[in-house]
Amino acid sequence: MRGSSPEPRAQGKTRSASLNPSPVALLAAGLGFLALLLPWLELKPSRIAVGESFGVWGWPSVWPWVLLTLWFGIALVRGHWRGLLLGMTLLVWGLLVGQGAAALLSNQPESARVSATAGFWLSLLALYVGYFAAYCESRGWAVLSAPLALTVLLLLGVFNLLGPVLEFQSWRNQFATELWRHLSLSSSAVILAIAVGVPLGVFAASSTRYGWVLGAMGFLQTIPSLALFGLLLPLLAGVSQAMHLEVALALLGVGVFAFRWLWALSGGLAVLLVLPLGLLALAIAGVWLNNLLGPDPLRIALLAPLQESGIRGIGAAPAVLALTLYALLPVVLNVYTGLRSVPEAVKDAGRGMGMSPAQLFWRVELPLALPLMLEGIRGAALLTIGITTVAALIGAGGLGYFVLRGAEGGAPDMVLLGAVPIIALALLVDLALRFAGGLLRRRVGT
Amino acid sequence: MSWREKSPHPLLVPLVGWGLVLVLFAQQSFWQGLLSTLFPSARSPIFERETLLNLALQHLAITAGAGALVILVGLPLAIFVTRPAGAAFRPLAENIVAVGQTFPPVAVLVLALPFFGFGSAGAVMALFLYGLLPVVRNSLEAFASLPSDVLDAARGMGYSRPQLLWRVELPLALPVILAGIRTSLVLILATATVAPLVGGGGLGVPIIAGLAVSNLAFVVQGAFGVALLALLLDWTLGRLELTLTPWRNGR
Amino acid sequence: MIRFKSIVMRYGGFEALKGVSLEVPEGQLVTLLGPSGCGKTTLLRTVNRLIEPTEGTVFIGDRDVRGLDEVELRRGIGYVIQSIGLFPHMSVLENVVVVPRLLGWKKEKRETRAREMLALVGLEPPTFAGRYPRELSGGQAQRVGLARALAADPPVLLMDEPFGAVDPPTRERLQDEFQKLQSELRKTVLFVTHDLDEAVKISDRICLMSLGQVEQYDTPEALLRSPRTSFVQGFLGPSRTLLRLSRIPLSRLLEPPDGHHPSATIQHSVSAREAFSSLLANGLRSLGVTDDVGLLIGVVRLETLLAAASEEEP
Repeated sequence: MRGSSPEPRAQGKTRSASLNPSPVALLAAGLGFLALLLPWLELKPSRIAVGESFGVWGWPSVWPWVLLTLWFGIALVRGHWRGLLLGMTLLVWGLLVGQGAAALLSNQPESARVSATAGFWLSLLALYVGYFAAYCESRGWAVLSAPLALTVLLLLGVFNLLGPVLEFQSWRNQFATELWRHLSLSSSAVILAIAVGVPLGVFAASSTRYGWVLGAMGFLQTIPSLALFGLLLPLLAGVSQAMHLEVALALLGVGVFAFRWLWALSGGLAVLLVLPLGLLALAIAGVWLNNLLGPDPLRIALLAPLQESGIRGIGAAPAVLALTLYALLPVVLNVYTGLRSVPEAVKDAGRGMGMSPAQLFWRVELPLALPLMLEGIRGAALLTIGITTVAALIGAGGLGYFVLRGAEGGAPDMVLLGAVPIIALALLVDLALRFAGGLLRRRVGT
Repeated sequence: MSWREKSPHPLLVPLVGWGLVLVLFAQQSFWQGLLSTLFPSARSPIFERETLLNLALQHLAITAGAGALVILVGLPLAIFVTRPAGAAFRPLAENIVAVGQTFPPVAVLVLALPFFGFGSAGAVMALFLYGLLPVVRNSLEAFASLPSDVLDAARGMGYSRPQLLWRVELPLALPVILAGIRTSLVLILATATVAPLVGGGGLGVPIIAGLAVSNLAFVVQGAFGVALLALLLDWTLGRLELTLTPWRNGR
Repeated sequence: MIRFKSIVMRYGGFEALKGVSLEVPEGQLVTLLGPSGCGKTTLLRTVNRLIEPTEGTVFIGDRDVRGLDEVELRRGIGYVIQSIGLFPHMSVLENVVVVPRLLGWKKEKRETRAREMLALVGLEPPTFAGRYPRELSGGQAQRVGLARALAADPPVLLMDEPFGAVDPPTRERLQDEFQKLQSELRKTVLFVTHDLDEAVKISDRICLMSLGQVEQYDTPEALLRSPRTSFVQGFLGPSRTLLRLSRIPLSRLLEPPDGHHPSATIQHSVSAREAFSSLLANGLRSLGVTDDVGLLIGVVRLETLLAAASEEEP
């Protein structure tokens, strides 16, 4: 207890100069050492066969010793040196993997595969933790060494002999298509969610009476994705066989007018009417938008059942519909919170200066709520990219196709071919939207 | 602790709800009849390898296993990094939680396959890893946003460090921690639907089997069951939050 | 008794306290008064070791606080802060018995004590015991805070602007009640405030601080009568004469009734300052003074008040 009392800050300067290893760097080094004890690569006679594991010490090479020394160094040095050593460690790690894969694959048949195992992944985690420690300490030129090392490794092609890369080479065309599908499915859902969610959020925020809108979104979000897909399947299957496109469009047109008329009579009845029609509209719009953006051609067949226009029980229709329903909650919730958190005083000032309600909304409330709304869109995008993986199960395609085929066939490399790009995509979208949010915040000044 | 709610006990209703749902799942012949009316063209309207009740229980067991691990590991982890001894690891924990959240749950589930192997145990481990994120994130946030005047008063009155943690910090952080646990458990239950892909059991089995053989009756059976369980779990945990933090609800 | 011996507090190059020595006598209420940033709160927090001074020693009785276990030390000192810091997850009753519980008192003893304390600070136990802090008004919460600090009957009380966050009428009422309580309990109290009126009203002695140093340490009367430095003079301002009146009990200036029926009366228990305000407000030259039941016991004249206010050293 006694030692924990706050010491005078005057001593702080002298303390930071002494040798006091950062605990995070120690953790990184510990993970790095542990990884050196585990098997790094697995050699399999074919892509789905059971393989044999190999550790780094089996290869007649000096690199494991260098790696060991480097990890020691990372634990001991500070500041710029740590960043620099980390870049070197990354380089050595990559070279070691490349060398190991080449050694294992020499004198092996064409079908043999080398996959990464525990030690490889643990080293990667150790490198991440180490990079984090270095990044926290100094943000100077030294932190650039790790990205630089990674670029060098990629240019050298050290990973080219690993399983997932080989898988990619043999599935190149299909990969491009599925990536495109993944993007079109996710973006159609996000676009529709924004188109529907923003007005819905504005509506929910307009009066405390409409709080149930949020409750309904939360309810939808609680239903597991696969379950929602499953429940939509038979519904859409029935409708798509029974209903003609022109009938659906006519129904929607009539519905808009009927809704206005019913809303004046009874809100509850109007909502009951709008729910099935809204779902139908979302399904049609979702499929068409997805076809416009994605690799599959757009088809509009009048005087024929909906399934001729691509709205079927299986495939893109239930996928985009369910994804849109999921993406609604973050969008609606953030629009609602954003509008609600506009200070009453600001709104009052606007009203006092003679703004009409519409002017107040467009010039005061919306700009102030914008950063939070963008945050909601970011949430919706990340959620959608993730859940689209499951869409492959109902025949909608996307990168989940590789994940599912790999899982079914017991081919981890195939799973990686799907999963790694999905994660990269999610991180990229996250970064981009965070950046946009930062810019927006600076402009709005909150 | 004084319960100021009217009798009966506020958790009674959710408990009765769980009982009713399990009884409903046990009515195998009722489901058989219902599904064959809904899907007259299906060859076998009901999944026959396992009863609906068993599937639901398997699903709950996977969720409970992963959820228990999440709480047992996540909470101490968050407590450790918010103490002076673990403070150095706090930025790292926050960073990993933030980055980890962008990972799609299904990807985490299948990526864990080579590490934990095929089967329910592997599924539990993967779900545990993913479920850790909301609990750690919320707990960190909860400990960071404790009112400083209350902590100052507590220290000034002579709480020792363990007492401060146990009697003041934890109870005050509880609402946000519980919200994290709720998110995590519902997420685990939802993601467990995909567990059959990595060899786990549960209500995802008929869904995935049904999709494979184009039998919508199987799909609906599993989907309906999972949806019901998820909603019930979410609602129960919401009630539990209210019960455990009576000081937050005014009269 | 609390004794500070050349307390120095340094944050980097900045000296928040520049060698403060001070003695708070047993059973007295001493206020640390001064503008924000003068170091008064820092000094207060060295007593229960929420802050450890860079140099110097704090004694309670004749024991160096650093020689005591900090947790034990704090349990023996009542502590009230401006934001009160009531525990939102505990009922009022649980809040009040926090320290007795830490000290391991039996449950019945604790509950009895809590009810006594609530009654002492003017909150009816049956109404308030089961409430949670969010259901209290600012004044009520501050009373609970005081009850909590007093619950284990600590000889020493530290109060950091305890009435700073409540509205002026409530503040005045709380001050009156606290003053009455202190006259019965006779705790050794160290009280931080930046409100001159408050300090003059409740203190036995005032320690006026500026920039980490003691400017003057005196009774309120002496401080107001003879400010020792220009800073003290400036801080007290032009109203110090008026303030002196608030230290004089009206009964001391009383003259026997002169036979006229006074056009306005005032209670004998108020201060001379209130009588003065009343005279000015009513445009009168004298006031009737009544006892507790409203009987006329004398008069007070404007001339007497003016003479008392301008009186030099006796």
